[in-house]
Amino acid sequence: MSAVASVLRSRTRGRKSLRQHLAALMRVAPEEADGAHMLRQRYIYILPTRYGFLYAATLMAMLLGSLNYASNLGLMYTFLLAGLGLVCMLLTWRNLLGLRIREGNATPVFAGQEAAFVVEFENLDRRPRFGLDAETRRGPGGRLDLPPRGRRGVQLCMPTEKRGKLCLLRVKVSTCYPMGLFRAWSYLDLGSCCVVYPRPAASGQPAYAAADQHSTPRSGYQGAGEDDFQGLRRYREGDSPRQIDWKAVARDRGVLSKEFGSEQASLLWLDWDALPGYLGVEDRLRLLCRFVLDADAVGRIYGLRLPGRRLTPGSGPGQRHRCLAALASYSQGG
Amino acid sequence: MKRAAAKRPVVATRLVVGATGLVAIASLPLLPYLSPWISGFFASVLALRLLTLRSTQKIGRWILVALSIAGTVLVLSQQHSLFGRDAGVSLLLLMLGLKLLELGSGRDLMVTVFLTFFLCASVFLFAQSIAITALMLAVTLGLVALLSEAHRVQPSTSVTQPARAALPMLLQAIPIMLVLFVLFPRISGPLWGLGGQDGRGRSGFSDRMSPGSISELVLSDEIAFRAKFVGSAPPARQRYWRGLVFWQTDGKDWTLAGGDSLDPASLEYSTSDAAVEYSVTLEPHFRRWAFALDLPATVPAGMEIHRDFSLRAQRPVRAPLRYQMRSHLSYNTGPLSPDERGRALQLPANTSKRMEKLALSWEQTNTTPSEVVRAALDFFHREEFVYTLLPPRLGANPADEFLFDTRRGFCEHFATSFTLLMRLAGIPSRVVTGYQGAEFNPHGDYYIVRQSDAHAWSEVWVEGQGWVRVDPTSAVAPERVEHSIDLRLMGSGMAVGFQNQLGFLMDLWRQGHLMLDALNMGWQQWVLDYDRENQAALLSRLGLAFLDQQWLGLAMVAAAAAVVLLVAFAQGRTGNPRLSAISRAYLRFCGKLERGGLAKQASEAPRAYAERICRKRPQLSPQVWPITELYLSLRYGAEDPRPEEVQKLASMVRRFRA
Repeated sequence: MSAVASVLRSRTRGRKSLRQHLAALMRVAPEEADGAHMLRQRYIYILPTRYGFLYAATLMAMLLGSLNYASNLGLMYTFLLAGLGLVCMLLTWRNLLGLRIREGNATPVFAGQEAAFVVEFENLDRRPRFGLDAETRRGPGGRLDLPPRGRRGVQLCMPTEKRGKLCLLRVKVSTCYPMGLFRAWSYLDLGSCCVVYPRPAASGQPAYAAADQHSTPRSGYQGAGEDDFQGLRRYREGDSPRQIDWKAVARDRGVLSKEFGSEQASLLWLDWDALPGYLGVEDRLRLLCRFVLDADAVGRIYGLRLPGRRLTPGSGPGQRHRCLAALASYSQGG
Repeated sequence: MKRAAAKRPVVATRLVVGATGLVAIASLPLLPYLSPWISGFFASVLALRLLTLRSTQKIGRWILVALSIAGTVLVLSQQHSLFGRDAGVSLLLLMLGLKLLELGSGRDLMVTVFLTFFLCASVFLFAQSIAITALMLAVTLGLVALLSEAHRVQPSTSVTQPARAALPMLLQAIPIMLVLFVLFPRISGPLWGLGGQDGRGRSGFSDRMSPGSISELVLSDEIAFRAKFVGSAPPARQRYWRGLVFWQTDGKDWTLAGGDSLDPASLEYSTSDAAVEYSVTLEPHFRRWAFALDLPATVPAGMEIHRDFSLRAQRPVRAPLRYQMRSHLSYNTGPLSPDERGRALQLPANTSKRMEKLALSWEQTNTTPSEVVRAALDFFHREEFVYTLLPPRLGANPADEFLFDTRRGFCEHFATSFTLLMRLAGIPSRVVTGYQGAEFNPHGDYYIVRQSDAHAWSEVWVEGQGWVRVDPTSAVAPERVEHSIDLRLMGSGMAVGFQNQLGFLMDLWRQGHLMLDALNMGWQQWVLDYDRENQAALLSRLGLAFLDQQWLGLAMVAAAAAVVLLVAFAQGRTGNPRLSAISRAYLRFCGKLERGGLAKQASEAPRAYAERICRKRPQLSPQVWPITELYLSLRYGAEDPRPEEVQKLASMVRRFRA
């Protein structure tokens, strides 16, 4: 009733595709208290596959033949296969029943790359489960077998186009084990998301002045000044591994980072406003993305300045992710 | 599915080998029924399949087309049709072979397996023994295992693994099968006209009897029919199973031409004893003859009787036929009509002078027909007649040659020559063929009558007694009538009595055979013969007699659904109850904490949750940590959690207060 009502409501609100209507009608396996999604009876759908229909047609032919030739044994065999089909239906359904699924983490990707979401399957039963398929409406899915009481992950990939946040679409977990006559499936909204960095501009771009306010404007990231060793300081998160004084580590003097050149001189500010005015928002973001990658590649200390936002200078993977994530989530409003 | 097929475009070699092997095994029972050309073609296609396993190149489309055309032409030339049972099975084998050759995608594999299922069902149109059924079940198990293997992601580590997955599936299907089989509404007769089968390879009587026809028949160990008596069975020397009655002879062959008309009134004969009641299960012999003890007193439904007491089914017996009978062992058939007398005295043109002289001598020295009969039997007994399965070949006048020259013969020689001599002596007589004797099977309390019990005897008409049975064979070999002949001994020329001395081993062998036959009888009665009548009888015994054919269909669906539910319930018990107990305990623990204001975050692992609780409520720490650790160790630790540990977790959670 409520599902029908919701369809009616959504119809008055706006146009939706038939697929969306159907999706709205479908029950989605909810999250349990321990964070896993468990496939319970009411969330599992099952229908015959085209092979199931072919099987039924074969049995019908066998039935007619056996009746015509008055072959009781043929009739019995036909009924055995019919029973087998029904058992197969139950087993296909059971192959999903009680399956537990958790979202895994997704590593950030650049727009245009494929986002890979890891979905973890868990089997609580003493019997194994075979031939489990997981897929989304877009992108390739994965298949796996689960040993008794086993846990395994499967990767779901989705193509990315735009920067920002990409959430895993509704996952369809399905199986047609053991005989391929039926397919049972369930829908899951796992809610895992992946940060999509802007697509970096091609490397070797003419470096626009990503100006450093406190020193003479530099062009790009030349003049690293890495020769000018300044001294050691305590390790800070975000420091590049090549900055670390490994000898000091070896001598048990704690983790110290080397500072090169004058901090002022080598500090690189990647500045939105320093880019030429004719560039659009996305082009700026792509360019800044490229600068971040290049600065990170050579281990520079860099900061990022966006309209209304400023990321303090740093270096290393942490800094890289913070800057790229800021670029990914940039919106003109703020 | 399209995606799955695209992902696994090539069916693994082990699946191809498995499918080919299973198809080969399933087609084995068909070999005797197929023309050697078709079998050869099929075998070479299978061989080609196995030879090209390693080749990476697929077999070209044009080769497949050429092979399918060649195969179709072969079937047409051998079977002269593409329809009907034999041609249909030949075509099915052809299709299967070609499908195996092009086995590439998962789709091909599914179609191959379904076709093989169909092949197994077709085998049952040819052979229905328990052994064949077991073989087909084994093939089916293999096919199910093959499909389940194909739908896994990782290949199994051993061959038995998929078989062990398939076996419970078949076992669970059996109750569903039984319900459907018992309750499926039966129809009588074929759906359309294709049901005809020829009687090729079946032995039995034909409508013509010539010397040698019964000795040929006796060589077969096949079962003719089984009989079950109500009360005690008549003694062996009385067990004459009447089949065909021959009146007409041309001096060489006896034919049914000029046989008696249909006449149910002929059953009105006088008798002095109580009727013997029994049921007969006749094996299909594709003729209309039916057999009953001398003399039948009833005509079962679907049968008719002639004036000479020979019983006929209204249609050729294509399927095992079961009928209830009553017979009287002593009888007086009364007077003979002039027409009958004429036919019973019919003589061929080739009676010899020697025969006429012999008959005349009896007629002159004896006054009554009974004395003439006794004189004739004395003659057979006194002279050097030998009862043998391997008589010498006889020429144009077999009766004369047998009586005076060779003197070696089988029952039909004795019966026919005796009948001719009686006719020459002016006594109305006729030849009767049927079976004599029966083997008792103590394991099933019934009698088995085999083709080897086939027999021929005479009937003479005597004033005041009517038709009287005379068995001239008994004058030569009385043991033939008391015991069944053992072919193996007869053939080797050993005396019939010798078999008793082989004693123990022989007996053991025989007992084993009898037990097997009892099994076969049960199989016959409950599986192969199960029909509308059996169904009605079974239903009324179950108190379901009110179910007529339409309601039966509904009842079948309902009962099948109930069985499916039961199977589903039985499957549900295979899960691990302890694991769900562990999860339940932990969820209860979480619930208590949630009510205490410390709800678990969805993304929180149990240890992280415990840490957070202990930060916020350090006083809970001594309870929270043991529960969390025990939960984790039970849940992700040992393969099989110990029941007392599970109980401990449950009681810890029960005592826990947030």
